[in-house]
Amino acid sequence: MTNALTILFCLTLMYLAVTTRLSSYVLILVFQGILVSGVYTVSFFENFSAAHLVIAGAVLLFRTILIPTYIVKIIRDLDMEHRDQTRRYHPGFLLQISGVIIAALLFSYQFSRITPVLVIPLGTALAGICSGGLLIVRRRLLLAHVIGFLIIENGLFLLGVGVKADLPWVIELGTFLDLFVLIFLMGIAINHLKSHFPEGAGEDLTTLHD
Amino acid sequence: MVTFSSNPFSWLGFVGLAAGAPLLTGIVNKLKARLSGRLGASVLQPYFDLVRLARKETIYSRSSGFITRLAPVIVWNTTAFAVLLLPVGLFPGPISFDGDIILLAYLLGLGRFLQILAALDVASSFEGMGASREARFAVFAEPIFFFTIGSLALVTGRFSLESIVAGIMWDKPLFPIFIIVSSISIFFLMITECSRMPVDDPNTHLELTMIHEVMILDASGFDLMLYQHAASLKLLLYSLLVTSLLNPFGWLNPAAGVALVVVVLAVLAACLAAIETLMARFRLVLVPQFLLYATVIGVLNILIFTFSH
Amino acid sequence: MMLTILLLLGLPLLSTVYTARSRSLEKNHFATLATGAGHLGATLYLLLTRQNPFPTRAWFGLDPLGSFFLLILSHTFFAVALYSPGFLQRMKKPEYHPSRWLYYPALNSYLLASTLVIVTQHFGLLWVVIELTTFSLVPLIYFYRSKESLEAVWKYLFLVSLGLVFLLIGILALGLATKGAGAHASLVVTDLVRDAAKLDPLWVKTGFVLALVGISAKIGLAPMHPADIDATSNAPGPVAALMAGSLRSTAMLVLLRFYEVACHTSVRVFSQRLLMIAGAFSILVAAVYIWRSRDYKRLLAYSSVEHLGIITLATGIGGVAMLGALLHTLFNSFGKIALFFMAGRINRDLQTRQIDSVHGLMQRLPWSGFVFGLAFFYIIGTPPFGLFFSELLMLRGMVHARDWLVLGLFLVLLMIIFIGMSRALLRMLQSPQPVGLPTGKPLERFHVAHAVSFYALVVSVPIAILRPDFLFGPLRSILTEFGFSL
Repeated sequence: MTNALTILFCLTLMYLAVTTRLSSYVLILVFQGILVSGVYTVSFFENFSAAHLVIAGAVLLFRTILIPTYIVKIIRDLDMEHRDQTRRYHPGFLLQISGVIIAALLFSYQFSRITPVLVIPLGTALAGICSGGLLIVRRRLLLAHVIGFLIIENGLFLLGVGVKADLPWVIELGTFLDLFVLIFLMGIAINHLKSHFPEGAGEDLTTLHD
Repeated sequence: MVTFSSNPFSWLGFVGLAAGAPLLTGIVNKLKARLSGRLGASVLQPYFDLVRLARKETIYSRSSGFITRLAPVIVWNTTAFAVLLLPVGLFPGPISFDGDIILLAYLLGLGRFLQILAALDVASSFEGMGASREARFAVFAEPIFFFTIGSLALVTGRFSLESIVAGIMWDKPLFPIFIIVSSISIFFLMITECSRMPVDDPNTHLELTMIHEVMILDASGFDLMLYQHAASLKLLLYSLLVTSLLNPFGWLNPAAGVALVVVVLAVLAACLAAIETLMARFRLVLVPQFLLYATVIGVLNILIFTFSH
Repeated sequence: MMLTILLLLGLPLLSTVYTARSRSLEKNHFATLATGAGHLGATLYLLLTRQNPFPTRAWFGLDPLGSFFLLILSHTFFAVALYSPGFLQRMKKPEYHPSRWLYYPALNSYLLASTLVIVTQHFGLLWVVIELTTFSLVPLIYFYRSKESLEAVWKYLFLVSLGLVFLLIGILALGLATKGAGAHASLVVTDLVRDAAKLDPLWVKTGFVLALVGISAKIGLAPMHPADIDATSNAPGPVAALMAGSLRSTAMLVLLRFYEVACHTSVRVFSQRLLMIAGAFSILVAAVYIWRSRDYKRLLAYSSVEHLGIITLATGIGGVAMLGALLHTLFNSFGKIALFFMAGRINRDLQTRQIDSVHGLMQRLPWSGFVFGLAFFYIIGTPPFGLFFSELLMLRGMVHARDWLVLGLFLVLLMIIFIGMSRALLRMLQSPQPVGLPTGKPLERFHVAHAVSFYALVVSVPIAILRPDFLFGPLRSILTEFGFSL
């Protein structure tokens, strides 16, 4: 079951590479939130307790509902175009993301030989983190940076599942709240940026340098 | 060692498949029409088209050479030969041997090669354009086939198509997901090879947007009939590939197996029809990415399958 | 006991809520000042009595390391609180209006968040509250609401959060370390230290490296320093002082907690080497950029990078050098208060941040120029100021450890930085005024900023020379905790 969910997660990562529509980004986030919550629930199925239920529910709430809604709100408020116009067609991006996913899976397999970890979630988590990073580095649209950051956070959560870390639920909730406040602040920043850089949500943040 | 099946049902099955291929095409067209709100032509329309074409005169342009005369025959033969390799239900295909998956892939490749040559031979720029597109997409499509069927071969440990199919065991817990994901990959491949949406629009009449149809634009009469039948044979081939991945006869009794094959074919036809109705064609630059996507799905599939042991 | 906890945590919380709702800047100022005073009082009391007001083995606790860094935080905050009304009075432009209302709530929430970081003993909780410190600074950095401020805030928010992602992976790696040998899977610092022998060294190493990479963005170590530099140089004077003085120190504390765990395992030597390399690299980068600086606020920000690099380097060497490093953190915060307050005043008066546009500060702004010059000598490490003594301790530690290469590199880089900073800052102070400027400007008045800065610079002298026990006792016990002996 975890395998199916994680394959789907990898598929969303690859779809990220080929799409340019902002609505697909949001849909990917929503989908990933559901998948991540599912993986979490399935992995902790043996010693399932109320705390786990709370965390799984919180993941669904934050990553699937609240944060994508807020991002949609940002897109609407700023009246962004449907496509990411700053992106030039780059066929190698899919190759890079695929390479990253494959490398992450191989890496996690080697890991599992020396430490007791869950191979597939760990590999997918590493893939998610690196793909989010690639997204940030490769795109110039600021919203793409935020989405990449959120994907890194999704990968991070999967990483927690992969290493079977059982953080107390208070801390996990704190993490989610932190994430939400962070996205909230980023949204406000993008809003302000729009007024300073009227054309395409501020891609040229290059005034500050030495 | 090449085994020619001694079972008469295999050969009969082959004849039946060759005869029934246009029916599948007819069903897809009918479903497509229905989804668009039209009544559509009858499901037997492709047969009528084939008969009509057989009776017409074949005209060759003065600037075309012997390839144009040779290609249709070879294309039809290679496709039919490939169908010979397919397992039919309980029975192995008429021809089977270790490594016949490679023969399958390259028979189709040979057909494609000759079709491209024929398109170039006609000396019209439209055909040349279509040929170049076809060649480019073929490059990206080939790995898909090998990654999916190859990974199946790796997993089951057999190398002949019919024994691979026989070796698929549904009781092992990880197989179902593996098979389903492989089927998705082959579905993407089918879309490309059989020139369906969203890679190629079979109904377009604008030459600049055609990929496959434009290559046979100048064919007529008997040659066109051979091309059309070969195309429907190819569609049937890939659909049967997908259904045999599910190995319906390995774990169900024969009657249920037949029913399952029919159901899966119907579902595939419906999917094709739905996609053709609902989606627009991809921009041509996006098609390599689409195919790469399917390849990576295949690679990922095999990796995840290996690592969960 | 409860009183101290109340003062440390409850007071900032109350103050944040109050200042957020109150409409009067005067009342906000008094509330903040009272909070700062209460906080400082509680810190000094806890330092003097060396008590831990929290129940032991809980998620919160105040060890000597924590109480020392709490002192740094309190002191810097109090100084900033003293300066704030004067600063806000000058900020009268209409676009600064929302920033003015946000100023005090953000300041108090920063105090709350930082205190939480210092008293937290659980690594997971630590991560959550560190993010809180980033959030509370955002409105403060964005005070001027200009394009540059916005870019600085965006980069800071984004890059620091990315760094904290690495930190979280490091924490997860530490959690993994506890699994391997059947140790009780707890992320509380004291538990980890106690079970240190049973931790899996590979994961402790990984966790340490990841934590170092992640927290460098907040500390301002190279190569993660750009976000911090941009933020510090674009923030207003008191905010920059707060960031350079206390924020980096608090982040340093987080690194030290990881280091503490690593010190009790076999990863000790590796982590020491790593810290030394990171520190030396930061000093090198700072040296290069101080030479190239055209903007004096950026220059001061790079000076922060340099000093944090020095602290990291000396922590890596250990022993007496680490004592010097801890002292250096305290004295560095003093110096940065003075430097950034004065830089803020200069910027306000001359409306420029370019070094080349500032001339003859001693004539134009006599008080600011004087304190600025004094602060320059302070931060360079001139005796009798405190920084000289802490650097001396570090050199002694390097000699003890027979690290000649490091010693040589250290001295050469510090000399380069000294020359670079003198070029810029002395020129600002002493160069003659270009002809054509009106000479009949009124002389500058003595301001609370000058008083506070002067005090900050001067108070380091008796601390360094007399070595009061209430400070040095906890420092020595910190060293023992880390496994070094003097």
